[in-house]
Amino acid sequence: MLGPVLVCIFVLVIAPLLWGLRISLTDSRMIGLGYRKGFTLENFQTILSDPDTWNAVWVTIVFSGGTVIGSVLLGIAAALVLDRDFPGRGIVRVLVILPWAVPHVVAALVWQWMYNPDFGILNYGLLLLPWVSATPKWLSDPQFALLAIIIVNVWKTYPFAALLLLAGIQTISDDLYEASAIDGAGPARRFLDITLPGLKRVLAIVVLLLLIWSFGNFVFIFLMTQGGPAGATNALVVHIYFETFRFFRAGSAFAMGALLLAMSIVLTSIYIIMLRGQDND
Amino acid sequence: MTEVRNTPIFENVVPRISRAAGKLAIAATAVFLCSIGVFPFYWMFVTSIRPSTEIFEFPPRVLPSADSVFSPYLTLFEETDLAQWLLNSTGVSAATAFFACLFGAMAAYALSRFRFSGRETSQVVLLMTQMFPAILLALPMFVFFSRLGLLNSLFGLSLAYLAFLIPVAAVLLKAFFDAIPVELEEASLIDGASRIGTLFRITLPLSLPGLASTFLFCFIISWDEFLFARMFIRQPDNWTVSLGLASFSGEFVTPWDQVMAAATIITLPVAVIFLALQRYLVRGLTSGGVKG
Repeated sequence: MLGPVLVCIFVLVIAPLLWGLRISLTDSRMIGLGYRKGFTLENFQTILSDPDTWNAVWVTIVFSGGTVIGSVLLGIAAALVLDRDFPGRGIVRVLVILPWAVPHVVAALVWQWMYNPDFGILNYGLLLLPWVSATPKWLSDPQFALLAIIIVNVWKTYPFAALLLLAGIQTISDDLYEASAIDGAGPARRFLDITLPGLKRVLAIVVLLLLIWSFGNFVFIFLMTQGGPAGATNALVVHIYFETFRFFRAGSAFAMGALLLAMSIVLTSIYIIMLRGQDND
Repeated sequence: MTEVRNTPIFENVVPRISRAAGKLAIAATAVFLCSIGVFPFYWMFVTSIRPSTEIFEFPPRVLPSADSVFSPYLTLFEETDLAQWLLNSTGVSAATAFFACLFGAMAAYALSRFRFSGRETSQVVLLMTQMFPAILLALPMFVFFSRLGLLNSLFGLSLAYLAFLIPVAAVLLKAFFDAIPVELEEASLIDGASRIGTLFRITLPLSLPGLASTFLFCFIISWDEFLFARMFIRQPDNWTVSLGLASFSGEFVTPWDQVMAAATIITLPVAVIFLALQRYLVRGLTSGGVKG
């Protein structure tokens, strides 16, 4: 019964991945068209000496890292709130989860509209603050564009972090908190001594999943900035897409794909080793 | 944890202040999180019913306009292919979700009930397929599909989605099958029913909630997907909702009222399904997905 599925995975997932690696070692230009050199490392030499590649790697790391930091911090705050018992908790829970429920394309367009430098609600809100006199042009300003997209991605992903962390918090025994309260520990102490250590494993899983997903995120950057302005948001995924469909350099696109694959394999392996460790507890 | 630092004077005052401050902090955080969650939706809807003359105004009006209009919604159906896109997306998502559940259930049942060599490895393979950035699959598939003549076809798009949704469905369903006691099946087998009969009469009816949730989850993912659709489908007739909506942006002057109206229509069905499913999703992600 497992057979058809494994065949399916092999044909639709593993074969394309391997074929992609194969193409990265040829001088193919248009994907799908032939190549003259059957084996060459030129693509790798080209992309590794190209500053654009390293910019893309850097943007990918900043984007993923920024997403993880923002998402985990907001997620912990949300989980601590939802762990409390208060009237209306059910509604708060639904409202917190809302951003996760919206389609990516919708989120991209709504935020693009809110970021609008001339008519956007966000800059209007910022100008209401007494100490703000000038507002950024967000998506068209190289200094703010990546931050703007990280904010959208944090907004979209933090509910996931919050729900997993909440599930983690609820597995921590109440006895530990009571004992610590008797010992005279305040809320901050209790959080640092009991909650955080208890969340260590869930936190690690959340961080890894968010990193892996952010590596592959295409929609926000593609729709909101197309990798611009001046390459400020040109993450690897978007860079690969444009290499293929705008500049028709399939060989180097696939070589960059191999780079992205290597980064994902490292993260995925850590993830799977951690899950195995959890099973053995 | 054993150190006691509180002097008698602070014993009563400090806890009381800190408890009040704690409650205030919790309330403030709750309000903040709710507003960042709701506001973009509010703004989407308010923009969609604003008369087009008021959209490009600064300062923007935070409250809905007094002469709210629903004409953008009508315009969408009259002047764009939104109805066709909705139809395409519904078809692709439903077909994808159905076959993902079918094949996913077979794999999940095998993983949940039989012990065989390679079982562990199969599970790791299932899990790993979810971890690669989609573009690594999308590019080679684009080439294969163009040779097979599957580009620009909704059937081809659905096939591509199955590549990453079957493993997801298998992982989610395995958690459900694991929760059904094996004893029920054994009893049915002892009573003389066949393996297949047992599967259809005992296991499948019991896992109906799991199948329904998995179906809806796969439906949402297909509805939301953009990268594959963007690469594979070029003809506007065959666009899905994601492509149709994205096509509005990048025009010289974006008709924001129509964009937000379309966004509202596209969001509503999946947001409702999603919120109904969220408890199950967390369970699937923590027990099924994460425990592999």
